[in-house]
Amino acid sequence: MRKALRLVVLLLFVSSITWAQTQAVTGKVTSSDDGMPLPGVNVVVQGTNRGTTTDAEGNYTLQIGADDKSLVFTFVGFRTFTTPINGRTTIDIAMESDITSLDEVVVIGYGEARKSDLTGAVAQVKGEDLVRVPSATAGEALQGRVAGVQVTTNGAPGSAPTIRVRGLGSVSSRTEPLYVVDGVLTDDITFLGSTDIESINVLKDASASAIYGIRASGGVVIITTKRGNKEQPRITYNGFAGFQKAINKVEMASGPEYIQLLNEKDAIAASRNNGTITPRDPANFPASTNWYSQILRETPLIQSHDITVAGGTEATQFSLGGSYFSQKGLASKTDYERINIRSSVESQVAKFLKIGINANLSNSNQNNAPANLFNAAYIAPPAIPVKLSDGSYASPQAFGDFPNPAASQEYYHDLTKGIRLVGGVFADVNLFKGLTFRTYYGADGNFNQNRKYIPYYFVSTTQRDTTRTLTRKIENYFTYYWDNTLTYKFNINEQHNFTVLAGMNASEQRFTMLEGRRQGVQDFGENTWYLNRGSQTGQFSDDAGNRYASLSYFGRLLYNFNERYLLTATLRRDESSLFPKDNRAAYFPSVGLGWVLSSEQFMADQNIFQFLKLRGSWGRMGNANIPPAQFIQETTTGGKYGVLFPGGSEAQQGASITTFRVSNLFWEFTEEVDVALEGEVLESKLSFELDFYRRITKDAIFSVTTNGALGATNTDYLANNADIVNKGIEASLTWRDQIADFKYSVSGVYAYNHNEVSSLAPGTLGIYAGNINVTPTTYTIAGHSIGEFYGRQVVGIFQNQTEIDSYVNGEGTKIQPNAKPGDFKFLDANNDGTINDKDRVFLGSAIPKYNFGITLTGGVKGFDLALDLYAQGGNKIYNARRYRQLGNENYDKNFYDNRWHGEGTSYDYPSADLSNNENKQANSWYLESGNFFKIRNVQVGYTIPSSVTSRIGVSKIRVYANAANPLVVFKYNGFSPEIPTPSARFNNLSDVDLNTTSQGVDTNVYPIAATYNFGVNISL
Amino acid sequence: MKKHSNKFMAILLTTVMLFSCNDYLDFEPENTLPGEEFFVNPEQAEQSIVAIYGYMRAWEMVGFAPMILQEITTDNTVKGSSLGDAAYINDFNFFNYTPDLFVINDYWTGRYRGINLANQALSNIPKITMDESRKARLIAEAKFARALFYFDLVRAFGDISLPTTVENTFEESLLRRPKAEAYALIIQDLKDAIAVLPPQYGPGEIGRATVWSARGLLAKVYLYQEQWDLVLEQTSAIISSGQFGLLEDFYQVFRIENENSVESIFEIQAQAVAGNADLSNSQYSQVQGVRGTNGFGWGFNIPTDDLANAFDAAGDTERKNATLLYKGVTTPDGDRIEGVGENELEGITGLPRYNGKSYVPRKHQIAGVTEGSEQNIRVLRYSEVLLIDAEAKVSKGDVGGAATSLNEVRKRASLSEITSPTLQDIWNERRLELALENDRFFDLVRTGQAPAVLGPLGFVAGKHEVFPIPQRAIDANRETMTQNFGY
Repeated sequence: MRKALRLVVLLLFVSSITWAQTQAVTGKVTSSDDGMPLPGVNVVVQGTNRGTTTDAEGNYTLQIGADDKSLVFTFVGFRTFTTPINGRTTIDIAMESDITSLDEVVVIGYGEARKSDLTGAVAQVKGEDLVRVPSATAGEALQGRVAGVQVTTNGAPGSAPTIRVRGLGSVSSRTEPLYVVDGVLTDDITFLGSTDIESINVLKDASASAIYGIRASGGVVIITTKRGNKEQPRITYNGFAGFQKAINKVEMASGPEYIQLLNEKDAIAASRNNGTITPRDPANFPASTNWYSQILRETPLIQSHDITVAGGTEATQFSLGGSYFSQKGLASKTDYERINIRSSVESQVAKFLKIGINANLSNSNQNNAPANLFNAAYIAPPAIPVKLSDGSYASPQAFGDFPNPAASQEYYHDLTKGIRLVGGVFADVNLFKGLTFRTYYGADGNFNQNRKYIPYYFVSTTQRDTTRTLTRKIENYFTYYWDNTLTYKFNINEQHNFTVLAGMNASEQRFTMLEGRRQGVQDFGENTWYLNRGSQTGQFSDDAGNRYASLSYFGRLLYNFNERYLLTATLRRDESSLFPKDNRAAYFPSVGLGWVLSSEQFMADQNIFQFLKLRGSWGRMGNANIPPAQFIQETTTGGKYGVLFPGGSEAQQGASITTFRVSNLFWEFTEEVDVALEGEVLESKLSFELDFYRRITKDAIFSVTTNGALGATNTDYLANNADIVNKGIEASLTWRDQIADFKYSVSGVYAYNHNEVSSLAPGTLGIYAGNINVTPTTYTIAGHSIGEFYGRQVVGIFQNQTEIDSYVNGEGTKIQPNAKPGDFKFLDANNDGTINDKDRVFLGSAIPKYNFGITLTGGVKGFDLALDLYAQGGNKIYNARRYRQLGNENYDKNFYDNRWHGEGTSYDYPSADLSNNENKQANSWYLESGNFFKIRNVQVGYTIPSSVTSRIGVSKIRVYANAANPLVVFKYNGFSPEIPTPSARFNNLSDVDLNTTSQGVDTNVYPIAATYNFGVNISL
Repeated sequence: MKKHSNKFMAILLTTVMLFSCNDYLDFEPENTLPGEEFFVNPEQAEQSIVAIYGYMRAWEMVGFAPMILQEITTDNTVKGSSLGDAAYINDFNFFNYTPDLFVINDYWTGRYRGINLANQALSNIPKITMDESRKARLIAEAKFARALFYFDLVRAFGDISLPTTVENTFEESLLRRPKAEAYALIIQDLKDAIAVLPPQYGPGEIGRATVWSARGLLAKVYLYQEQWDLVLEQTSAIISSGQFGLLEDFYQVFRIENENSVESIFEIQAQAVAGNADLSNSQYSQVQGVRGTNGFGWGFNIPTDDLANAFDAAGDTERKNATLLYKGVTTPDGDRIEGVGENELEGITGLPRYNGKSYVPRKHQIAGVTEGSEQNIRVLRYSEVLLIDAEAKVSKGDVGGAATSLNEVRKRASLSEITSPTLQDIWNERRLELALENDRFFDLVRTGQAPAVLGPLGFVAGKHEVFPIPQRAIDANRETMTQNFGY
């Protein structure tokens, strides 16, 4: 600090000598947003090099000459302000923030750049825009904020949303973007809360992301956590508390309605074999249970608190903080709680050396619901009471082997605790002017524990556990990254500006898992659930681990000529231990060109465009994110293959090769072309960005269904044998203006994506997936999108026997001779006079075609308002809840109301006999529109005038009320049109689930929660 | 400044060099045992055979699939369980099934998984240096197993894919070979096995395939081929060995105490070990066990009144009581059969009743593992060998010889002798002796009785003799994988 002052004094001294015949102008620069002083603002006399910067209090003093006309104030993130001097000696300025300004600095891989100099598609979202949405993780808050980024939220507390950048480029590998948190590459950012984040930068095209080579093809999301600044240390508090409420709940059939449906179903089912049934007497089943109200909470609470202290001097900046987030789940007994502690310190310890450290420590506790809880509640017979008169749980066994969902929930204890440390240290060495060497060591350690315990209970012979089993599992991940980069920034003749980067990275990931299980653990409360209290007889243990390493070299040239002609070229070489030794290195080049038309002479006289840039890029990226050892034909051992032969003292170990794999598996390449136009018009009030892209995934790893006769135990295997195309349009528009005191902005993002498997290697078969009870609902084949729905086309409902008999093909063959009234009438697509799997047709894509987000903000006299809207559509959802009807599963009320139950009662809903084999073949009736619109968030805030708050020594107090998801509009007959797709997580081997071909199949979706909360922001 | 830069340049270069020179990426994958490193020592050869026996009790092998395809399709049993529960099973009872029903795929895939295990052993064990006689025995066991699995497939589907080595598996899995080729392979495998397999095993190996297992199975295979002389060659070898006999009490044949008894030609070894769900994974008994309160299972595969009447018509109470467990009775092991009430099992009216042959008394149930998982699955019993012998003899005109074998079986059931049996007598005896042992469907098709017996249930001659090839197998290669007629 003292140094800085000395510097300022020196500068003043120097300037006063040079321009002796001058006069001093002083003033204070503040932010028009909040009236806070702005330090470090450049103040320059227009047309000269003379200038200064504001001090920590925002004050400046500048000597001006008699000829000087105007002062220009510039500051990153604020709109440049020019004001005539007009003989004034005090000029105070309130600068307007300008977060979408093209001058903003965005974070790109291994560096930063001005957005106006970029040739790639990069979008930035500031931390303050993320915190509006009250969610456990930052990913969710990205919904509707960045064109081309599709976020599918997942209601379970603490769970990660599904995020896709520019469509779906892979069938079998990870499709989520790569996250780079303060230089650490990771697949999972659930450990970060929105309040921990300074900014998020999304690298969308190859020119921007190819620098991340084999991990780039899903797009790259660079997250910078909170940083210090050169201001006086300031303490800020952000907090909110509120409650959630399940909305758009599906109403289920009541007990009597259910009995009626079963009787209708069983009568029709029996009539198929010329039989009859004795209907169930509703009087025997007086109960009518709404199972959802048994398993859901009414108004679970949510709260978040964050305290940050940030500041610094010219030499050293720091940010220290902590946050607490807690959310009770909509499902009873589920919750999520997280504490984060973070620090960031950077210091210029010598002229040539800057060092820094940042660390984020997070500790989370999560109580999980039993698997398939929501599906269990959907299918559970309502004609069963929750409990019997003696207080014990009732069993739905009279209707089949259904569990009582309330009992499943009560006796299920599943707690996950996680500790994660993500951080790194760096040293920047300034070797000579413009040349900087940086070495960075980043580490990501993750320690997870899971404990599952089920006490003794007995509901029925098929729903019971008498073993008192306790399972404990410990998972440990550790990853390190070591980056070494040289950056050389120089110019030739002040016209040719170069930034050259060369670097290398070495990284290694290790994972271990240890699991133990014992039975006979008596239940004396949670504090007694330890393995040593169980029986050694029959104890079980498991152990797993993997290791993965990669070695990369990369380089980048950023060049511009007078900030008018722009060039970016990158090259990366990656080598990965995931693949066979002789087949594991590849090169990833990219090149981007930009032309700032508005800087051209011929544009000088126009004043439509304040800024106009045309850019285009090509590049190649990779995706190696498949589970390790997929090319290895593994040996299988384990108890299932063991036998205890009579007379033997113990079981003999069995082992053999049970899997089928392809041994020359290689990573996927994605090549992308992007062309875009960006600019500002109407005095920079309107800024726009329009991108066209086409990305092809070559040799995409396609999961091939294992043919049964191969005799393999893996149901599918991977091979490089498909090309996948994603092409689309992205548009972003922002309008910001001020009418008198009323400041407002409107911004919108829109994205359209077309996804298609463009070709399959000869001999490669399509993938049937989305299996429900082994019946596929999707088919992935060349010419169609990944996981396109596939099944029979329903053309009506048979009303009577005459209609069945008269449904014939050209040759008079009865097409569905065995049908009964109330059954689906299917299209005989191949006109062969019978309905079978050859009549399946494509029925629509699960991938949304478009999405858009609109954000409105406005403020006047301390009041502010923000409204976020989001919509997506063009996709279909498979209503697999209805489709899972195997026997006596419950129906929803909508089905009850609309079903066919006699001639003329319905022309679009079938009879209750959905479980009939023909009726439950994949067909178009189960497909519904996925279109929806929602008010993502609405917030009203009020900032107490500083005249009031300064009296109590507080510089700012803002209070607000917020509603998230208060309104979601959709036609789909399910709980939520957002169906999360579990994706293949390299990091989480226990949870590998390669099913992008099975997306959009709704079996067990968490209900939507509307969240209402109040919050406060305080700055001291 | 210059000095510093030189120093740092040196550090940087050293770093880069370090990584490029070291074998940074060269390490064995963690916790993975590559297949090419397996099958190198004798112990692994042994393990690969144990794996086959272990797999025999998997869900696809002894759970729903064989029960549904081989019994529920017949007049012996119906679906059972609650009305509407797993309703698709009724499609088998009434011959309404389609190629996409997953049970059919389970049946197909399950047996090919067993065949893969056998082929792995057969292709790899010969390369291992080990005791040659031991090696030969292991190979013979694999051949026996392969024959057993293919015999199921060829009977269920007719023309089938026929992989015989690890190398030809991929190619062959996309083709259908004629039924005759499958039978030729089965017969050759069994002949090879007979040449090597031992007559019996010591403790710790009891239950593995013996020469008698192979001979018994070969006799049954020839029975399906109607090669009577070849049948008799095998049955007489077994009968004259003197190693086999019938237990006195039919009920006792199916009890855990009498597993691998003198009556056992081959049975799938299953066990229940507390806390070890993988070893105790046979669901054979569970799926057929008594349903409801105080039950021990799911209550599927319920014997029909038609079967009960067949016992009554024959005056056969001993086998009836051991085969059909009615609600309310107390078994010789002291369990009173309880569970759901009258009319509560789908497909039958009146008193609930269950498969008595898969019944595991409560005293053998072990908490926390699959109910009744200890029950061995009787694949081939000496009484069936006698019936096969009798049938071959009748077919050849040796009625007296046939009567001897047939009456040994009838005598144990306390039934009167038949002096000059007809084929129909023997077929009727097969039904009663082997009821609920997954023989009935194939037997009705083999003997040509199916259209008459199963016609009322929906059986169409010319179509339902075989099941449809699973849709998934067709989808794997639509050009070469043709569908069976009528599906």
